[in-house]
Amino acid sequence: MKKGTKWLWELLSVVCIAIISVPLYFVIINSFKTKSEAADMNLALPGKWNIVENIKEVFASANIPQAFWNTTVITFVSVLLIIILCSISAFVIQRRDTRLTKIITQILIIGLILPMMIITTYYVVDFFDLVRTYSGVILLFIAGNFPFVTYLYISFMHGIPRDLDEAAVIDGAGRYRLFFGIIFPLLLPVNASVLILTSMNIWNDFTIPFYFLNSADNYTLSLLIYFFFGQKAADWNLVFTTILIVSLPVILLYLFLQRYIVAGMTSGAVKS
Amino acid sequence: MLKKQYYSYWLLFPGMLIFFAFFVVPSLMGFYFAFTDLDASFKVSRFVGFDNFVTLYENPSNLLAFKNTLIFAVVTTVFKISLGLLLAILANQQLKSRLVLRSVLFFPVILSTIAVAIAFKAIFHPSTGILNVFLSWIGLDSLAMSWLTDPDLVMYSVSFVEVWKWTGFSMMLFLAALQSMPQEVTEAAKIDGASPSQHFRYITLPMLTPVLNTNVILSVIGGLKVFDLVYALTGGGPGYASNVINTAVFKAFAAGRNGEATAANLVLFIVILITVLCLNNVINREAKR
Amino acid sequence: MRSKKFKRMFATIMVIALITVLTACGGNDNNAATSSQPASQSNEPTGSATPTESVKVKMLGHTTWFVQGMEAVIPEAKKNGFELIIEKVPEGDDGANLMKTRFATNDKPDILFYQSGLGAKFGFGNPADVFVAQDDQPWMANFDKVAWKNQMDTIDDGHWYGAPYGGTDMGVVLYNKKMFDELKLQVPTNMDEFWAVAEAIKAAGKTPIYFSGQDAWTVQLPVLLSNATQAVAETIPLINENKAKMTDLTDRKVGMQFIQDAVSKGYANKDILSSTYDNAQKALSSGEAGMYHMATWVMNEIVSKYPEGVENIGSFIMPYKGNGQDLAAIWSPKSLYVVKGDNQDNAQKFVNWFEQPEVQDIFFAKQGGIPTIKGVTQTSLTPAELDAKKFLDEGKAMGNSPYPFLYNGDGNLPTYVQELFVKNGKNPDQVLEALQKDLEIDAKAKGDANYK
Repeated sequence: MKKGTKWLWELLSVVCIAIISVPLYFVIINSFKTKSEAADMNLALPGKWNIVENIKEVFASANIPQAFWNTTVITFVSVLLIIILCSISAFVIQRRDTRLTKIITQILIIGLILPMMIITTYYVVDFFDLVRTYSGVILLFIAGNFPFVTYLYISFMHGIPRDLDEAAVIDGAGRYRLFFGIIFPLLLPVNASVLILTSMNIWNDFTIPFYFLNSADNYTLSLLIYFFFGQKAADWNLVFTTILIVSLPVILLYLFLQRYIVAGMTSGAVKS
Repeated sequence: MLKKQYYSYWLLFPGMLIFFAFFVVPSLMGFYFAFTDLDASFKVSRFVGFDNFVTLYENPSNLLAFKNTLIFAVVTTVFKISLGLLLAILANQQLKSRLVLRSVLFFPVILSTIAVAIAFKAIFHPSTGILNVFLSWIGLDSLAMSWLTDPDLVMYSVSFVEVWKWTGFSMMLFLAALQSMPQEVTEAAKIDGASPSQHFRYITLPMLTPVLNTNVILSVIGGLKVFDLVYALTGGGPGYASNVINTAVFKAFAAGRNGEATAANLVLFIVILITVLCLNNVINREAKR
Repeated sequence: MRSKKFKRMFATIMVIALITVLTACGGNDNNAATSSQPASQSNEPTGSATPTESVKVKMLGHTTWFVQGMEAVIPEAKKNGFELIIEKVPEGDDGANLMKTRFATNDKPDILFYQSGLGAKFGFGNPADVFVAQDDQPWMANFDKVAWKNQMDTIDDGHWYGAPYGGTDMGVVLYNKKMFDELKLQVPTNMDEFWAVAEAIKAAGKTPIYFSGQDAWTVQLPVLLSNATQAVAETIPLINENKAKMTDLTDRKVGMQFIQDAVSKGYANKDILSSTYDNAQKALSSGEAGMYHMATWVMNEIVSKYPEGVENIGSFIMPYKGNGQDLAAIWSPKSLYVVKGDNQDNAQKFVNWFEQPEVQDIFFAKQGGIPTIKGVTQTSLTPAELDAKKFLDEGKAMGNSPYPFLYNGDGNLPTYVQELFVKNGKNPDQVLEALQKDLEIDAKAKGDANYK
């Protein structure tokens, strides 16, 4: 590459970084400010660093620990079950090439498209007596993510040769050893992608907890931001502090898993 | 070929059971209600045929919502895909900033839509928002607009936020595909003396077709289904200017017109289904060429 | 055949494992999720003051409805044997949808807190099927049925289902008295004076009239203030029978015309469509804005968020007509609805206890609003509410929608009024036409013979 072109590319890259970063910086810097300074909504450094007071005030006016606990339990259990159920389903669907699995694949694709119907879903959840329980919400998250994640696993498994299965079976592995002992460890990269994608999906979801966990004590963090904003729209410093607190866990998770994401997708969604 | 007992259907059972019970069944039930007079108390007294669809069609704000949804889906897909591809190529170069670029671009993807919407509400504020302040600071006062309250502009502002949030995802998919390209092909092409543009046209692009397909379809589905972002950013306003199908569904539901709400949902499903089928055909045909 | 057996076993185990995991967290959340912990968690050790035969009453309502007044009532209720379990849902359409969904799926509380005059069109079901009629309950002795006819009863069957909760609110113009004093302005009594006041405030560099256009429900206030007239009260019954149209509600047009004039004359705040209800409270209480068309409920929020401004805010009747002919718009109190079901007797007992003047005193000592129950002696009204109460006492007030609609014609009024501010939006006539269309759709959907 010519040196000039290279600098041009470099410049372009920096511009893109800036466009993405400015709003992020804007949120972070204003969460450090006092109410009156944040009201100016500019990018200047705070005159008075007020972050501790802001955090205290947010904790005092919104039930963050409870919301945090609710969100964590729901996200953790849902993601765990999604990974197990979807990978094993994908295994069967991909390895067996029958009429039935073809139909199932079609249903999965339609599942990607189908819009969720709140009212009838509520009927069903209520039928199982699961409204206002974590279990109900977790089942809904599994059901909602099932088509996409299974699809992702299916694509990935195309790349795992069947010879491997046969070798394992010859070595005397049963079907559970075959899956959990041989295949599952090979899914590491795609598991990482699924982990990050579904975690952020569930952590940030608004609609499902809103309808199915209703009542203020059961708010998840995403609901908390929304209703906090509704009530305190004028206190931008507190609104931004809330956003920061709520986003921190997924950001940390992302930073830990970052290097797996591309790898998981390389082998997953990309070929199909 | 192993015997099928190793891939027992029973293994499928728990996942499929949950998927059907909590997703497929309620959705299908919803479609039945689209043809009834389901009222505010969720009572069905009669079957009304296509009346709900006629009512939807006769309301000009629904037609606007339909148009807005299409604008949103098209605009965001075009930009997410083209920028995503460009950035993936950029991030795949031997640039000093490439690692930063990769991580920063994916950041908005992991943030909550509600949080992003609230931040952009502040950024787009007509007099105190940093966008307009910045524009007048560099002397472009005339470009300072009422981004979220001008009915001609609002759909594009909302689309911008969507593109800002999701381009990183699209880039990541492309990047993954680029990195999985066999090195030998690239080397061989270089030796054969292919120019960078030829290389892109005849080697990179065809190999990207599958990921392009996935990416376009995911983006179109996401665009047509949009709700959270519009709801939190503008609530469909001002007036009905940024109403999309899903916010119209929500409003019909809020007004107790549940038959209409389910009918609108069914319309959305059909629109998505048709779009995806067409896209799939077009992309596959292009790929075969 | 060994494999077949194994197959079944595995599936069973899988499902059991799944259920175990799920119920494990199900049990978990029974503390947290069903929590809505007995709201009566006072500091006293449980069991000491509580009568052993205390009954549980499950309640459902919007979060902001359970503030100072109810907080004071909860410990008293506990002493009297009511353990109140309050489930709070968000404000606005979001929360209302949630409550309706719960009623639709038969997931009901014992007492519902909602707007008064709940009819079938609100989506909680046919009131006679769902709620216990209050017509003959003892608390009715302290309640003025004549004054609240057409406001708090149900148009569907004429029965009274709601028991008043909280105070009456008045739709008025809230103004910054301090600013008026400094600029030597008088409360206007006709539109000429009103515009002169606006001009003076503008000349002083402040915002004369504040519209919080981003929160669409707030901008319908000027329209609803002009709607509180005898003419409207006489027209709505005709509309219910399709003998008149929404377009005949010309008094509504007065309010909409006012909005357009205020904007075109440059007396409104800038960035109307980006301004929120909260922004308006701040602007009015800090003296950046002079006048805000709102109902007195906003004072409760100002008391908690901008207490320093409370004493400076007064209220007057919007002088659309002048000559002292104008009326303030009344918003009836909210209501408690006793829901039919296993626990309806206990719920009814609570309502009868709550509506006693002594208990109402506890409520109104802590929270604003004008009491509806006779014999209440304690109130904590802000200056703006005291002004407004005077209009009510003098009989210069009328319901904001002075007669109930049979069909849902007003559901979109906020959005339509918001469109008055939008470039190329609606004009007042178009708003009325659109309302008429909505009403017709709803009436036809219900199969009304007058609307064929």
